[in-house]
Amino acid sequence: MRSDVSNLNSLAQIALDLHGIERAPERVEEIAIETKRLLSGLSSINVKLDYYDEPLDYTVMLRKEAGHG
Amino acid sequence: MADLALMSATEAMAALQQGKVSSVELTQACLDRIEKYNSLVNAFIRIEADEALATAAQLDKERQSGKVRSPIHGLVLAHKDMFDRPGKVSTGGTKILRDRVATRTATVLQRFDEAGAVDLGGLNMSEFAAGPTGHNIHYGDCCNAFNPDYVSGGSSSGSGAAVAARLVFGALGSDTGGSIRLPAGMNGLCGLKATYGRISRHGAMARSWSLDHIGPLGRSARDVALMYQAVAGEDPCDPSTLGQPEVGAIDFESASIKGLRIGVPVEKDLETVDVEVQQALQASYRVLEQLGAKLVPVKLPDFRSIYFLAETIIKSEAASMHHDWLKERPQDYSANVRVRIEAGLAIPAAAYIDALRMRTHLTASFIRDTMGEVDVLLLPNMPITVPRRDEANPESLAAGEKVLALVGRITQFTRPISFLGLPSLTVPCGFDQKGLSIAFQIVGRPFAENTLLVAADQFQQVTDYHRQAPSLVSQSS
Repeated sequence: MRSDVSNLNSLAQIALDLHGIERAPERVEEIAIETKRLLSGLSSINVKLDYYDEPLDYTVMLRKEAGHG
Repeated sequence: MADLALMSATEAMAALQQGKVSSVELTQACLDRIEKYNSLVNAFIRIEADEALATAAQLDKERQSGKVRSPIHGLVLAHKDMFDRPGKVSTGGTKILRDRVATRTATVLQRFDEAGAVDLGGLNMSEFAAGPTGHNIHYGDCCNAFNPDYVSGGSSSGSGAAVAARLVFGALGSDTGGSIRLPAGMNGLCGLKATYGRISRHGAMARSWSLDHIGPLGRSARDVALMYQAVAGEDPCDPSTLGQPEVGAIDFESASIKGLRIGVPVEKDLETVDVEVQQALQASYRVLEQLGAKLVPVKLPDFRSIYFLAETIIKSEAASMHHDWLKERPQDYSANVRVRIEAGLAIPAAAYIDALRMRTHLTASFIRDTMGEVDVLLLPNMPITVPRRDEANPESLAAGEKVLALVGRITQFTRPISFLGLPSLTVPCGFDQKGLSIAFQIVGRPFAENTLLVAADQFQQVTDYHRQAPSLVSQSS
């Protein structure tokens, strides 16, 4: 896994730099690995959102599903 | 004299109402047990003995004069150390907040105060409520009350261990991915993660504001109901609570689950669940059927995807809250919490926004499709038996992907339910070969907490898993 995160190393380094956070290279790589694991997981999700028909507010949706509001 | 702290909260309240005990006696019984047993489990970060005894004395005086504030008037509680009280420090299990003195009162504490509960102090927890095992390098690991070599569960570790060890009658925890239900299940307790927005988070330390829930841990469904009904409801200080349905009273004595449709996962959805857990689930199915419930096979959606979406939200929001501390006080974090929060800095904004939007979509479809033909869903609380502390230590040299995988297993069935925001109640349903608790969770429709509490109570009327006190701490004083 460590060999294929070089691009994400750059992303992790930029994210840390933007916040003024200093980290050793091996820690940057750990963050890259963690980010890769998460983004890989997200890439397998195949849900198509219709941006105008979805309920906009999560809590409103919960109340409606409970028959309240 | 029998050890008063061995009573359940429900029994203690009955004894108070009948004048058989006083709140001062209950408080002192808890303090005696803390003195004797807290070192075994390390459940408390802060003990407020004098203030608790003074509060109890005041409440006894009120009761003697005929003033009874609520059904929990005089009950002795303690809470995860993350709720603000003016002039007090709530550490959040961290070094960073160790000296931060609060200036406001958390709504849940205010409601308990008004209801007449005694607050014994702050309970141990995972650093910043991040981590499901109860390890903590700043305040020491919290241990399982049934066997200190095993994890307490987290992040409300002290809440689970203290209530199970009978150091206190009940406790509040918080749950972003399972942090109420996991320590409850691992310590033989009930724990309620109510619907998102049911219980105010005002004055609580945030882990991830979109997914944070607060709720009670207790020794039975009835104990949990006592605490839940005292704190649930609208709060203008937490907009997520506004517009919710009434909490409503529960009449446990006349309630029934005859005809209740309970969804149970199809075999394939449970193939990663350990045999001992599966056996306990099967036995629970039979009990519920005998009580008149109808079991309906249900195919679960892709929990793995939901898990990643939840993680995206948690990491993104944590990074947003922590970036100043990550820059200014990085040395004050444990290594594992620091790197996990830092990873959130690199998540693209589009991924976070999509995760939030998908939450609405996926929750609506879960209610309509997965729960379309059932009233509640019964899931494992955890697919594995309770792990040892050494094998789950996130700070150990052997940590890394192995521990990360174990954490993923522990939260496999709880984190998706936190993401969906649905109410879920953990109920003990057996013990493994090592004598550690196994539990299931019952998941309901939005704001159907009372249905869950009734189903759990019916189950507990004919089983006794919740009555098993840990042998380490079950002796009378």
